Amino acid sequence: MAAVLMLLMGGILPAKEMPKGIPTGKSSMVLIKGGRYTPFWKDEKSLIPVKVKPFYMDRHPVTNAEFLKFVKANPKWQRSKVKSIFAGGTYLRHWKSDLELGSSVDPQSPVTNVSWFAAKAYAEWKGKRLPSIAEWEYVALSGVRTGSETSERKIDQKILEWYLTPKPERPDRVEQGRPDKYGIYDMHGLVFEWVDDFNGILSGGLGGDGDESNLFCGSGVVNSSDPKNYAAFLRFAFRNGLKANYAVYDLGFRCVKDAN
Amino acid sequence: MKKKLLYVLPAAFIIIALTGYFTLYNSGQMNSSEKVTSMSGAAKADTEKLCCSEYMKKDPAADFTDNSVYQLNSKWNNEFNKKVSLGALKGQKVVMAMIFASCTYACPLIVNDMRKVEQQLPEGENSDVTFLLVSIDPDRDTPRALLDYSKKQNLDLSHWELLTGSKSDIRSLAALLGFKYKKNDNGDYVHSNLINVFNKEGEVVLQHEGLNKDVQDIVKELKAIN
Repeated sequence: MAAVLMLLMGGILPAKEMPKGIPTGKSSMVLIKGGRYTPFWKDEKSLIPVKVKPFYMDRHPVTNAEFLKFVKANPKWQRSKVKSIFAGGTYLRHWKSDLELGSSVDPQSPVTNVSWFAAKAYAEWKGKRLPSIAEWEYVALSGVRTGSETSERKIDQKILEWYLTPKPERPDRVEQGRPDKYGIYDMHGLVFEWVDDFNGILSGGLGGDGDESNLFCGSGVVNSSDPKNYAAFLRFAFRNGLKANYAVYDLGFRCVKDAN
Repeated sequence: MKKKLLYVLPAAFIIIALTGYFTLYNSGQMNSSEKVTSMSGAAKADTEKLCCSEYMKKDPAADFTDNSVYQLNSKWNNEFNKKVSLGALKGQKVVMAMIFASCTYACPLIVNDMRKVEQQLPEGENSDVTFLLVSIDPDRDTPRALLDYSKKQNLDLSHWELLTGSKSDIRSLAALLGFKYKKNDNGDYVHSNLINVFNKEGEVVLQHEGLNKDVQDIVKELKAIN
Protein backbone atom coordinates (compact mmCIF):
# COMPACT_ATOMS: atom_id res chain seq x y z
CA MET A 1 0.00 0.00 0.00
CA ALA A 2 2.73 2.34 0.96
CA ALA A 3 4.37 1.63 -2.35
CA VAL A 4 1.20 2.58 -4.21
CA LEU A 5 0.99 5.82 -2.28
CA MET A 6 4.64 6.54 -2.95
CA LEU A 7 4.09 6.03 -6.64
CA LEU A 8 1.14 8.38 -6.62
CA MET A 9 3.06 10.98 -4.67
CA GLY A 10 5.96 10.67 -7.05
CA GLY A 11 3.64 11.50 -9.89
CA ILE A 12 2.07 14.58 -8.42
CA LEU A 13 4.72 16.32 -6.42
CA PRO A 14 6.54 18.98 -8.41
CA ALA A 15 9.96 17.82 -9.43
CA LYS A 16 12.39 19.64 -7.22
CA GLU A 17 15.61 21.03 -8.56
CA MET A 18 17.85 18.49 -6.95
CA PRO A 19 21.58 18.66 -7.32
CA LYS A 20 22.85 15.59 -9.10
CA GLY A 21 26.02 13.72 -8.43
CA ILE A 22 27.21 16.04 -5.70
CA PRO A 23 29.68 14.47 -3.35
CA THR A 24 28.27 14.87 0.12
CA GLY A 25 31.38 13.57 1.84
CA LYS A 26 32.95 15.91 4.31
CA SER A 27 36.51 15.32 3.24
CA SER A 28 36.55 18.62 1.40
CA MET A 29 35.36 20.28 4.58
CA VAL A 30 36.87 20.74 8.00
CA LEU A 31 35.04 20.62 11.31
CA ILE A 32 35.31 23.85 13.26
CA LYS A 33 34.39 23.14 16.84
CA GLY A 34 33.09 26.60 17.46
CA GLY A 35 33.82 29.02 20.21
CA ARG A 36 33.61 32.71 20.81
CA TYR A 37 34.36 35.51 18.47
CA THR A 38 34.86 39.10 19.54
CA PRO A 39 34.42 41.72 16.83
CA PHE A 40 37.31 44.10 16.46
CA TRP A 41 35.45 47.29 17.13
CA LYS A 42 35.61 48.62 20.60
CA ASP A 43 32.19 49.84 21.58
CA GLU A 44 30.87 48.52 24.86
CA LYS A 45 28.29 46.23 23.35
CA SER A 46 30.60 44.32 21.10
CA LEU A 47 32.84 43.40 24.00
CA ILE A 48 30.34 40.63 24.56
CA PRO A 49 31.69 37.85 22.36
CA VAL A 50 29.45 36.23 19.75
CA LYS A 51 28.98 32.51 20.21
CA VAL A 52 29.89 30.46 17.17
CA LYS A 53 28.32 27.00 16.97
CA PRO A 54 30.20 24.04 15.48
CA PHE A 55 30.18 23.90 11.69
CA TYR A 56 32.03 22.47 8.71
CA MET A 57 33.94 24.81 6.46
CA ASP A 58 35.26 24.23 2.95
CA ARG A 59 38.98 23.55 3.01
CA HIS A 60 39.55 26.01 0.19
CA PRO A 61 37.58 28.66 -1.68
CA VAL A 62 35.36 27.41 -4.50
CA THR A 63 37.45 27.07 -7.67
CA ASN A 64 36.72 27.94 -11.28
CA ALA A 65 36.44 24.22 -12.07
CA GLU A 66 33.94 23.67 -9.26
CA PHE A 67 31.88 26.67 -10.23
CA LEU A 68 31.86 25.56 -13.87
CA LYS A 69 30.09 22.35 -12.83
CA PHE A 70 27.48 24.47 -11.10
CA VAL A 71 26.71 26.66 -14.10
CA LYS A 72 26.59 23.60 -16.34
CA ALA A 73 23.95 22.08 -14.12
CA ASN A 74 22.12 25.38 -13.60
CA PRO A 75 21.95 27.21 -16.92
CA LYS A 76 20.24 30.24 -15.41
CA TRP A 77 23.55 31.03 -13.71
CA GLN A 78 25.48 31.08 -16.97
CA ARG A 79 27.00 34.39 -17.90
CA SER A 80 24.72 35.13 -20.83
CA LYS A 81 21.58 33.99 -19.05
CA VAL A 82 21.91 35.43 -15.57
CA LYS A 83 19.53 38.25 -14.63
CA SER A 84 21.31 41.52 -14.00
CA ILE A 85 19.44 41.91 -10.74
CA PHE A 86 21.34 38.84 -9.48
CA ALA A 87 24.73 39.42 -11.10
CA GLY A 88 26.11 42.56 -12.67
CA GLY A 89 27.89 42.94 -15.99
CA THR A 90 31.26 41.77 -14.70
CA TYR A 91 29.91 38.36 -13.67
CA LEU A 92 32.39 35.63 -14.68
CA ARG A 93 33.91 38.00 -17.16
CA HIS A 94 37.32 36.30 -16.87
CA TRP A 95 35.90 33.12 -18.41
CA LYS A 96 36.13 32.63 -22.15
CA SER A 97 32.44 31.91 -22.57
CA ASP A 98 29.40 30.57 -20.73
CA LEU A 99 30.89 27.09 -20.38
CA GLU A 100 34.58 27.55 -21.17
CA LEU A 101 37.19 28.86 -18.80
CA GLY A 102 39.68 29.57 -21.56
CA SER A 103 43.43 29.07 -21.47
CA SER A 104 44.21 32.07 -19.28
CA VAL A 105 42.05 30.87 -16.40
CA ASP A 106 43.39 28.26 -14.02
CA PRO A 107 40.64 25.79 -13.12
CA GLN A 108 42.22 25.40 -9.69
CA SER A 109 42.17 29.11 -8.88
CA PRO A 110 39.35 30.45 -6.76
CA VAL A 111 36.41 31.59 -8.82
CA THR A 112 35.98 35.34 -8.61
CA ASN A 113 33.69 37.81 -10.39
CA VAL A 114 30.76 36.07 -8.71
CA SER A 115 27.87 37.88 -7.09
CA TRP A 116 26.47 37.12 -3.66
CA PHE A 117 23.36 35.66 -5.25
CA ALA A 118 25.44 33.33 -7.41
CA ALA A 119 27.59 32.27 -4.46
CA LYS A 120 24.50 31.61 -2.39
CA ALA A 121 22.86 29.60 -5.18
CA TYR A 122 26.03 27.53 -5.53
CA ALA A 123 26.11 26.83 -1.80
CA GLU A 124 22.46 25.77 -1.78
CA TRP A 125 23.01 23.53 -4.78
CA LYS A 126 25.75 21.82 -2.78
CA GLY A 127 23.48 21.46 0.24
CA LYS A 128 25.63 24.00 2.02
CA ARG A 129 25.37 27.69 2.83
CA LEU A 130 27.55 30.78 2.97
CA PRO A 131 29.31 31.43 6.28
CA SER A 132 28.11 34.21 8.55
CA ILE A 133 30.46 37.08 9.28
CA ALA A 134 30.97 35.64 12.76
CA GLU A 135 31.85 32.18 11.44
CA TRP A 136 34.23 33.49 8.79
CA GLU A 137 35.93 35.92 11.13
CA TYR A 138 36.17 33.33 13.89
CA VAL A 139 38.16 31.00 11.65
CA ALA A 140 40.18 33.81 10.11
CA LEU A 141 41.20 35.22 13.48
CA SER A 142 41.62 32.09 15.58
CA GLY A 143 43.12 29.95 12.82
CA VAL A 144 46.40 31.85 12.92
CA ARG A 145 46.74 31.96 16.70
CA THR A 146 49.79 29.90 17.48
CA GLY A 147 50.33 30.89 21.07
CA SER A 148 53.64 32.53 20.35
CA GLU A 149 53.31 36.26 20.43
CA THR A 150 56.23 37.03 18.12
CA SER A 151 55.19 34.61 15.39
CA GLU A 152 51.57 35.73 15.64
CA ARG A 153 52.65 39.30 15.26
CA LYS A 154 54.57 38.39 12.11
CA ILE A 155 51.62 36.53 10.64
CA ASP A 156 49.26 39.40 11.42
CA GLN A 157 51.65 41.82 9.79
CA LYS A 158 51.86 39.64 6.69
CA ILE A 159 48.08 39.36 6.48
CA LEU A 160 47.72 43.10 6.76
CA GLU A 161 50.27 43.63 4.01
CA TRP A 162 48.19 41.50 1.69
CA TYR A 163 45.20 43.76 2.26
CA LEU A 164 47.27 46.82 1.55
CA THR A 165 48.79 45.60 -1.73
CA PRO A 166 46.94 45.59 -5.05
CA LYS A 167 45.56 42.19 -6.03
CA PRO A 168 46.54 40.42 -9.23
CA GLU A 169 43.85 40.12 -11.89
CA ARG A 170 44.25 36.33 -11.74
CA PRO A 171 44.57 34.82 -8.27
CA ASP A 172 46.91 31.87 -7.64
CA ARG A 173 45.71 28.33 -7.22
CA VAL A 174 44.07 27.26 -3.99
CA GLU A 175 45.90 25.25 -1.31
CA GLN A 176 49.36 26.41 -2.34
CA GLY A 177 50.36 27.92 0.98
CA ARG A 178 50.25 26.44 4.46
CA PRO A 179 46.91 25.61 6.07
CA ASP A 180 45.89 27.27 9.29
CA LYS A 181 45.72 25.35 12.53
CA TYR A 182 42.36 23.84 11.57
CA GLY A 183 43.67 22.56 8.24
CA ILE A 184 41.91 25.30 6.30
CA TYR A 185 43.61 27.05 3.40
CA ASP A 186 43.56 30.51 1.92
CA MET A 187 41.54 32.45 4.49
CA HIS A 188 44.19 35.10 3.99
CA GLY A 189 46.27 36.14 1.06
CA LEU A 190 44.31 34.86 -1.92
CA VAL A 191 40.92 36.54 -2.42
CA PHE A 192 38.23 38.33 -0.46
CA GLU A 193 35.25 36.10 0.32
CA TRP A 194 31.51 36.64 0.40
CA VAL A 195 29.68 36.03 3.66
CA ASP A 196 25.98 35.41 4.04
CA ASP A 197 25.26 38.51 6.10
CA PHE A 198 27.55 40.92 4.26
CA ASN A 199 24.60 43.32 4.51
CA GLY A 200 24.59 42.99 8.28
CA ILE A 201 26.94 45.89 8.81
CA LEU A 202 25.29 49.15 9.52
CA SER A 203 27.16 52.34 9.07
CA GLY A 204 25.49 55.66 9.24
CA GLY A 205 21.97 56.88 8.75
CA LEU A 206 20.63 54.91 11.66
CA GLY A 207 19.12 55.67 14.98
CA GLY A 208 18.47 53.69 18.08
CA ASP A 209 20.42 50.95 19.73
CA GLY A 210 23.41 49.22 18.32
CA ASP A 211 24.13 51.94 15.85
CA GLU A 212 27.47 51.29 14.29
CA SER A 213 27.63 54.59 12.53
CA ASN A 214 30.93 55.31 14.21
CA LEU A 215 32.41 52.12 12.88
CA PHE A 216 34.16 53.70 9.95
CA CYS A 217 35.08 56.97 11.54
CA GLY A 218 38.07 55.36 13.12
CA SER A 219 37.99 57.08 16.47
CA GLY A 220 37.93 54.63 19.31
CA VAL A 221 37.10 51.90 16.91
CA VAL A 222 40.22 50.50 15.46
CA ASN A 223 43.52 50.55 17.14
CA SER A 224 45.57 50.60 14.00
CA SER A 225 48.71 49.68 15.86
CA ASP A 226 47.24 46.18 16.02
CA PRO A 227 47.56 44.68 12.53
CA LYS A 228 45.08 41.91 13.37
CA ASN A 229 42.32 44.38 14.06
CA TYR A 230 43.26 46.61 11.21
CA ALA A 231 43.01 43.73 8.74
CA ALA A 232 39.59 42.82 10.13
CA PHE A 233 38.55 46.44 9.83
CA LEU A 234 39.58 46.47 6.17
CA ARG A 235 37.46 43.37 5.55
CA PHE A 236 34.47 45.03 7.16
CA ALA A 237 34.96 48.17 5.15
CA PHE A 238 35.21 46.08 1.99
CA ARG A 239 32.00 44.15 2.75
CA ASN A 240 30.19 47.33 3.62
CA GLY A 241 30.78 48.66 0.14
CA LEU A 242 29.33 45.63 -1.61
CA LYS A 243 25.99 45.14 -3.25
CA ALA A 244 24.56 41.68 -3.69
CA ASN A 245 24.86 41.65 -7.47
CA TYR A 246 28.44 42.94 -7.57
CA ALA A 247 30.93 40.67 -9.26
CA VAL A 248 34.44 41.71 -8.33
CA TYR A 249 37.76 40.35 -9.64
CA ASP A 250 39.28 39.66 -6.23
CA LEU A 251 36.13 38.44 -4.47
CA GLY A 252 35.30 34.74 -4.25
CA PHE A 253 33.64 32.57 -1.63
CA ARG A 254 33.61 29.29 0.21
CA CYS A 255 30.79 27.34 1.82
CA VAL A 256 29.99 26.00 5.25
CA LYS A 257 27.54 23.52 6.64
CA ASP A 258 25.98 22.99 10.08
CA ALA A 259 27.76 20.34 12.06
CA ASN A 260 24.68 18.61 13.42
CA MET B 1 -16.09 -12.65 6.57
CA LYS B 2 -12.40 -12.46 7.18
CA LYS B 3 -11.71 -13.19 3.57
CA LYS B 4 -13.95 -10.36 2.48
CA LEU B 5 -12.04 -7.91 4.63
CA LEU B 6 -8.87 -8.91 2.86
CA TYR B 7 -10.30 -7.53 -0.36
CA VAL B 8 -12.26 -4.65 1.07
CA LEU B 9 -9.41 -3.07 3.02
CA PRO B 10 -6.94 -2.70 0.15
CA ALA B 11 -9.74 -1.60 -2.14
CA ALA B 12 -10.70 1.11 0.33
CA PHE B 13 -7.11 2.28 0.53
CA ILE B 14 -6.79 2.46 -3.22
CA ILE B 15 -9.99 4.46 -3.51
CA ILE B 16 -8.85 6.90 -0.86
CA ALA B 17 -5.47 7.24 -2.50
CA LEU B 18 -6.93 7.76 -5.96
CA THR B 19 -9.42 10.32 -4.67
CA GLY B 20 -6.56 12.20 -3.09
CA TYR B 21 -4.58 12.01 -6.27
CA PHE B 22 -7.36 13.36 -8.47
CA THR B 23 -8.28 16.09 -6.04
CA LEU B 24 -4.71 17.31 -6.08
CA TYR B 25 -4.40 16.80 -9.81
CA ASN B 26 -7.54 18.79 -10.49
CA SER B 27 -6.69 21.64 -8.18
CA GLY B 28 -3.41 21.95 -10.05
CA GLN B 29 -5.09 21.89 -13.46
CA MET B 30 -7.96 24.14 -12.60
CA ASN B 31 -5.85 27.09 -11.67
CA SER B 32 -3.18 26.86 -14.26
CA SER B 33 -4.91 29.30 -16.57
CA GLU B 34 -5.75 31.77 -13.86
CA LYS B 35 -3.48 34.67 -13.35
CA VAL B 36 -3.10 36.39 -10.06
CA THR B 37 -2.50 40.04 -10.48
CA SER B 38 -3.12 41.27 -7.00
CA MET B 39 -3.03 40.03 -3.48
CA SER B 40 -5.39 42.66 -2.20
CA GLY B 41 -9.11 42.52 -1.73
CA ALA B 42 -11.03 40.16 -3.91
CA ALA B 43 -7.99 38.85 -5.67
CA LYS B 44 -6.78 37.42 -2.41
CA ALA B 45 -9.21 34.58 -2.81
CA ASP B 46 -7.49 33.66 -6.07
CA THR B 47 -4.13 33.73 -4.39
CA GLU B 48 -5.38 31.31 -1.83
CA LYS B 49 -6.75 28.97 -4.45
CA LEU B 50 -3.51 29.10 -6.36
CA CYS B 51 -1.50 28.41 -3.30
CA CYS B 52 1.57 26.31 -3.17
CA SER B 53 1.84 23.77 -5.92
CA GLU B 54 1.12 26.24 -8.72
CA TYR B 55 3.74 28.66 -7.50
CA MET B 56 6.32 25.96 -7.27
CA LYS B 57 5.72 24.79 -10.82
CA LYS B 58 5.86 28.21 -12.34
CA ASP B 59 9.12 29.27 -13.91
CA PRO B 60 9.87 32.30 -11.79
CA ALA B 61 11.79 34.12 -14.48
CA ALA B 62 9.22 33.72 -17.20
CA ASP B 63 6.75 36.39 -16.26
CA PHE B 64 9.00 39.08 -14.90
CA THR B 65 11.36 41.68 -16.29
CA ASP B 66 15.09 41.29 -15.70
CA ASN B 67 15.11 43.96 -13.01
CA SER B 68 12.01 42.79 -11.23
CA VAL B 69 12.27 41.98 -7.54
CA TYR B 70 9.84 39.19 -8.37
CA GLN B 71 12.70 37.31 -10.00
CA LEU B 72 13.28 36.10 -6.46
CA ASN B 73 11.37 32.88 -6.44
CA SER B 74 10.71 32.97 -2.73
CA LYS B 75 7.62 31.84 -0.85
CA TRP B 76 6.21 33.74 2.06
CA ASN B 77 3.42 33.36 4.56
CA ASN B 78 1.00 36.20 4.94
CA GLU B 79 -0.88 37.36 8.03
CA PHE B 80 -3.52 34.72 7.36
CA ASN B 81 -0.86 32.02 7.14
CA LYS B 82 -1.40 31.61 3.40
CA LYS B 83 1.58 30.80 1.20
CA VAL B 84 2.17 33.63 -1.24
CA SER B 85 4.78 34.54 -3.76
CA LEU B 86 5.96 38.11 -4.21
CA GLY B 87 5.29 37.76 -7.93
CA ALA B 88 1.57 37.66 -7.20
CA LEU B 89 1.89 41.42 -6.71
CA LYS B 90 2.67 41.96 -10.37
CA GLY B 91 0.24 44.53 -11.71
CA GLN B 92 0.07 46.37 -8.40
CA LYS B 93 1.98 49.44 -7.33
CA VAL B 94 3.74 48.47 -4.15
CA VAL B 95 4.93 50.50 -1.18
CA MET B 96 7.12 48.19 0.80
CA ALA B 97 9.24 48.14 3.93
CA MET B 98 11.10 45.55 5.97
CA ILE B 99 10.33 45.71 9.67
CA PHE B 100 9.87 43.60 12.80
CA ALA B 101 6.73 43.72 14.88
CA SER B 102 8.30 44.05 18.31
CA CYS B 103 10.36 47.03 17.20
CA THR B 104 9.51 49.93 19.44
CA TYR B 105 11.40 52.74 17.84
CA ALA B 106 11.93 52.88 14.10
CA CYS B 107 9.40 50.45 12.63
CA PRO B 108 6.25 52.11 13.99
CA LEU B 109 7.54 55.33 12.41
CA ILE B 110 8.12 53.58 9.09
CA VAL B 111 4.62 52.12 9.17
CA ASN B 112 3.31 55.53 10.07
CA ASP B 113 5.10 57.08 7.10
CA MET B 114 3.51 54.47 4.87
CA ARG B 115 0.12 55.20 6.38
CA LYS B 116 0.67 58.86 5.56
CA VAL B 117 1.22 57.87 1.94
CA GLU B 118 -2.02 55.91 2.03
CA GLN B 119 -3.86 58.95 3.40
CA GLN B 120 -2.31 61.39 0.97
CA LEU B 121 -3.26 59.39 -2.10
CA PRO B 122 -6.37 60.89 -3.68
CA GLU B 123 -9.59 58.88 -3.54
CA GLY B 124 -9.63 56.26 -6.22
CA GLU B 125 -5.89 56.30 -6.69
CA ASN B 126 -5.12 53.69 -4.10
CA SER B 127 -7.14 50.82 -5.50
CA ASP B 128 -4.09 49.34 -7.22
CA VAL B 129 -1.61 50.13 -4.47
CA THR B 130 -0.49 47.46 -2.02
CA PHE B 131 1.27 48.40 1.19
CA LEU B 132 3.61 45.59 1.98
CA LEU B 133 5.43 44.88 5.25
CA VAL B 134 7.98 42.09 5.26
CA SER B 135 9.23 40.92 8.63
CA ILE B 136 12.93 40.40 9.27
CA ASP B 137 12.16 38.51 12.48
CA PRO B 138 10.73 35.12 11.47
CA ASP B 139 11.24 33.62 14.94
CA ARG B 140 8.85 36.00 16.63
CA ASP B 141 6.76 37.30 13.73
CA THR B 142 4.51 34.37 13.07
CA PRO B 143 1.53 35.00 10.78
CA ARG B 144 -0.57 35.28 13.92
CA ALA B 145 1.78 37.90 15.39
CA LEU B 146 1.63 39.82 12.12
CA LEU B 147 -2.16 39.74 12.14
CA ASP B 148 -2.13 41.08 15.68
CA TYR B 149 0.34 43.73 14.59
CA SER B 150 -1.90 44.78 11.73
CA LYS B 151 -4.75 45.25 14.20
CA LYS B 152 -2.58 47.14 16.63
CA GLN B 153 -1.41 49.40 13.84
CA ASN B 154 -4.95 49.68 12.50
CA LEU B 155 -3.98 48.59 8.99
CA ASP B 156 -6.66 48.18 6.37
CA LEU B 157 -5.98 44.64 5.18
CA SER B 158 -7.66 45.24 1.86
CA HIS B 159 -4.60 47.40 1.01
CA TRP B 160 -1.99 46.05 3.40
CA GLU B 161 -0.18 42.77 3.31
CA LEU B 162 2.21 41.42 5.97
CA LEU B 163 4.67 38.66 5.16
CA THR B 164 7.04 36.40 7.01
CA GLY B 165 9.46 33.95 5.44
CA SER B 166 12.61 31.93 5.85
CA LYS B 167 15.79 33.56 7.10
CA SER B 168 17.45 32.83 3.80
CA ASP B 169 14.70 34.42 1.71
CA ILE B 170 14.60 37.45 3.98
CA ARG B 171 18.36 37.84 3.59
CA SER B 172 18.04 37.63 -0.21
CA LEU B 173 15.24 40.16 -0.42
CA ALA B 174 17.16 42.53 1.85
CA ALA B 175 20.33 42.04 -0.17
CA LEU B 176 18.47 42.84 -3.35
CA LEU B 177 17.03 46.04 -1.92
CA GLY B 178 20.26 47.12 -0.24
CA PHE B 179 18.50 46.90 3.11
CA LYS B 180 20.92 46.22 5.95
CA TYR B 181 20.03 44.50 9.19
CA LYS B 182 21.63 42.66 12.03
CA LYS B 183 20.26 40.79 15.00
CA ASN B 184 21.46 42.02 18.37
CA ASP B 185 22.19 39.91 21.41
CA ASN B 186 18.87 40.89 22.95
CA GLY B 187 17.00 39.49 19.95
CA ASP B 188 16.11 42.87 18.49
CA TYR B 189 17.37 44.13 15.16
CA VAL B 190 19.39 47.06 13.97
CA HIS B 191 18.27 47.91 10.46
CA SER B 192 18.08 50.46 7.67
CA ASN B 193 15.02 52.67 7.54
CA LEU B 194 13.89 52.20 4.01
CA ILE B 195 10.59 52.46 2.16
CA ASN B 196 10.65 51.05 -1.37
CA VAL B 197 8.27 51.71 -4.23
CA PHE B 198 7.85 48.99 -6.88
CA ASN B 199 6.19 49.64 -10.19
CA LYS B 200 3.71 47.17 -11.63
CA GLU B 201 6.56 45.01 -12.92
CA GLY B 202 8.06 44.79 -9.48
CA GLU B 203 10.99 47.03 -10.33
CA VAL B 204 12.28 49.32 -7.61
CA VAL B 205 11.50 52.85 -8.76
CA LEU B 206 12.06 54.74 -5.53
CA GLN B 207 13.87 54.22 -2.26
CA HIS B 208 12.89 56.57 0.52
CA GLU B 209 15.41 56.54 3.35
CA GLY B 210 15.00 57.86 6.84
CA LEU B 211 12.21 58.41 9.33
CA ASN B 212 9.48 60.95 9.72
CA LYS B 213 10.37 62.69 6.50
CA ASP B 214 7.96 64.22 4.03
CA VAL B 215 6.46 61.36 2.02
CA GLN B 216 5.46 63.50 -0.98
CA ASP B 217 8.20 61.84 -3.06
CA ILE B 218 6.46 58.49 -2.61
CA VAL B 219 3.00 59.90 -3.36
CA LYS B 220 4.34 61.60 -6.46
CA GLU B 221 6.06 58.45 -7.66
CA LEU B 222 2.90 56.39 -7.17
CA LYS B 223 0.89 58.88 -9.20
CA ALA B 224 3.49 58.75 -11.96
CA ILE B 225 3.36 54.98 -12.33
CA ASN B 226 0.97 53.88 -15.02
